[in-house]
Amino acid sequence: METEEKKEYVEGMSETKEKPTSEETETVTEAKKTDIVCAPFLKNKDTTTTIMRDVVIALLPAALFGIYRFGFRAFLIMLLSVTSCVLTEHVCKRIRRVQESAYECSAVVTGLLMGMMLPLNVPYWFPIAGGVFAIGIIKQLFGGLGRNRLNPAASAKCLFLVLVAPLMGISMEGYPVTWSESTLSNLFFGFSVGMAGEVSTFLLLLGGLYLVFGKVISLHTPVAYLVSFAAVMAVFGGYGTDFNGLAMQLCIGGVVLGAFFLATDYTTSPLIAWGKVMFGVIVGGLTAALRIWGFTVEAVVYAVVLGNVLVPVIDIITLIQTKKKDKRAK
Amino acid sequence: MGKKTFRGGIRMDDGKALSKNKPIAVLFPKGDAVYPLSQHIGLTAKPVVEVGDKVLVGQRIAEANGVVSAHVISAVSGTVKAIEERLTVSGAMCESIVIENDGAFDLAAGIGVKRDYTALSKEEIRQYMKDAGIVGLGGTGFPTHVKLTPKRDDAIEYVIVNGTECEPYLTADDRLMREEGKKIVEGLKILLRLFENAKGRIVVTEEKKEAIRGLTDLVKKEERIELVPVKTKYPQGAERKVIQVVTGRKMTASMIPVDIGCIVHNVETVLAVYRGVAESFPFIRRVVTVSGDGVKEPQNVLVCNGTSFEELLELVGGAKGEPELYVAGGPMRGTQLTDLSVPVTKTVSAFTVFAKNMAATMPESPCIRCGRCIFACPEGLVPRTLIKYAEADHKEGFVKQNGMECCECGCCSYVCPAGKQLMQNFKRLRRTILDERRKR
Repeated sequence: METEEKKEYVEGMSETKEKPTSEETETVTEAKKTDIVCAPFLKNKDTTTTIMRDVVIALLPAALFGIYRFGFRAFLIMLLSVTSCVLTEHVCKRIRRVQESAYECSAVVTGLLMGMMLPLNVPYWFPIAGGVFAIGIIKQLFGGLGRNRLNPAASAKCLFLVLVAPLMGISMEGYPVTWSESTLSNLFFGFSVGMAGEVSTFLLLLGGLYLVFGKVISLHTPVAYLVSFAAVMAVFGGYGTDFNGLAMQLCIGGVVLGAFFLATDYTTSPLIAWGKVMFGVIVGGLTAALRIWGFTVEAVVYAVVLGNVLVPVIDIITLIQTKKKDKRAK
Repeated sequence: MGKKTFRGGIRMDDGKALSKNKPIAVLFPKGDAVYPLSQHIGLTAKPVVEVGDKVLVGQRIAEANGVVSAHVISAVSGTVKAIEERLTVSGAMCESIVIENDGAFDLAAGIGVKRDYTALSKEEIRQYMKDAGIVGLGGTGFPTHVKLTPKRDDAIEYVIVNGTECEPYLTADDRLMREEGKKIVEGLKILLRLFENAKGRIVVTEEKKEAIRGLTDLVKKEERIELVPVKTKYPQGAERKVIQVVTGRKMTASMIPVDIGCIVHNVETVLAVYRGVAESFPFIRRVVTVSGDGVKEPQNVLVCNGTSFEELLELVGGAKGEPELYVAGGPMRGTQLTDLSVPVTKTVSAFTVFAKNMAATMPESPCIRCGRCIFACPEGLVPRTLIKYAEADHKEGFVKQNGMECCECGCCSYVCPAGKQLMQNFKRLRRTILDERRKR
């Protein structure tokens, strides 16, 4: 009580001083209110944060299933990579002194994706280093949110596959060595071996469809990706009309994760519908080609990153087409 | 169902249900009526009354000044109190005639006399329109008699009545088509008398089911008139989009509809034409939608020109709580009102009141390249490229990227998840560029 009285008294004393400042703040808020006198006054409720939140929601079932199947280690890897990404994002923002408003969740998406794509026998320091690489170098060095050229999560996994795994002698085991051991349904529902977040094709598809129905992503890229992948596999991979084999190829190595989550990343994919189709076809075809002629089944991340490099070109080509259409109208 | 539509645009929660099912109420104001002399595009009208004069309902108080101009007509009876500068909806000051309302609403002579429009010549029809002081009621306020006087009457192929009313919350046109459908069709027939080669088209969005049902019956016997139901989408009501959907012809920003043989009129304008020509009733009242989550009883009201927004709000039952945002017009293209004492003029189609200013509370963040603005743009532009030029005030780049084709519908700003003020910036730069061009 006493302190309150004191406060009042002090305020009363300094009234002459206080008043102009309060008036000033009032005029400032008024100016802010009347500042936006321009329509539209309606706004749709989607913001960057809600979009990123939706992506996390879509990824969660598959991630949780991976934890359920592979236990604490899978959980720890995901947790480490998410934490590392979020912390790196914060530090980078501090250094760059930018106020990339809100908190965007985009680092969480990157971290979660990376954690889901890493193998179980990865050393614990890698998710941490990968987060720093993905956010610090791939994203923030290129200008932060919305400016990165490559998909951060896919790039981090590429780094792991190219540098870390061979150096440390980690073999990319975990894949069914002989096809006879795993059936299609085992692969589809995630009861075979693989990366923690990639095993359940079914749950990834479910998450992908959640995004499609939530209008977060369009079907262009995923459909083009999967069709192109299957087509190249069928023609050059020697599968022909062996649908069982093709379906198995679609279910391993995170092809669905790539199609619905990596290739549809807004920032690193083309802007308009035709570009998205083109991008899906290129990345899908590349995935299949790398699987057939490359050195690893882990083709998805390489294909996505290679495709990302082409995005500016695709954008230029497709946007020129829309401009031409305009001219014809004149 | 294969209804006609255009590329781009957005679907949204349009809030029309608030006021859709209530019949139009008629309001008579008690307070002073204020008539700005410039309620239209073109030269300011010249006052023909003086302070202290008695005026009657329907009496001309200011005369059209030059070719592109329109009369101003009083909607109340009383005494001229002052002729002075007053604030208008746009926030600018404009010379206005203030009339002290005596509440009697005495009609001037000759109002309400029925005429047989089929016996009138073209010149007479145009003269009666001019006398009635009709301007385009869709929002631009272009004098109707001028719009209906193209170089060659026989070059007009389509007279289109725009009943799409795509702006969210607005239901005035919908109500009018339901309640006054017959007069609207008659009004269109008057317009068709002016253009012997023209076909009449009434464009209505498909969600206005009752209006479509009523109008279908009415146009069944008319050979020259056809009803065109189109998909519900914003901004279907934009002039260029209406023409595109009816004729398949595309317009650029530098063209006017007459260039491709079209004349587009808002539903209420056509109704005003009928009233003015066939019933000698000047355009002094219009239907205004008062809606939004900030008013107690959203509804459509027939309100006298010159009534202040303050009184209008009182007459419909007042505001709910303390609304943050008052808008003259709809929320997508309207103007924010900071002072409610300004009068309702000829071009005000709605008064929307919102508890919260949603657009103002949204912080801006970097573009994440989602491409939604490109998908939503009805003109096929790339707003995310344009915004870079607009933010840097780079005029050449903006024009080169077809920025002048922007129709300022606001779809891009509506969908942007980063909360960028796209359309607001385009609008500002377009105004600057247009001003510069005019000066040259």
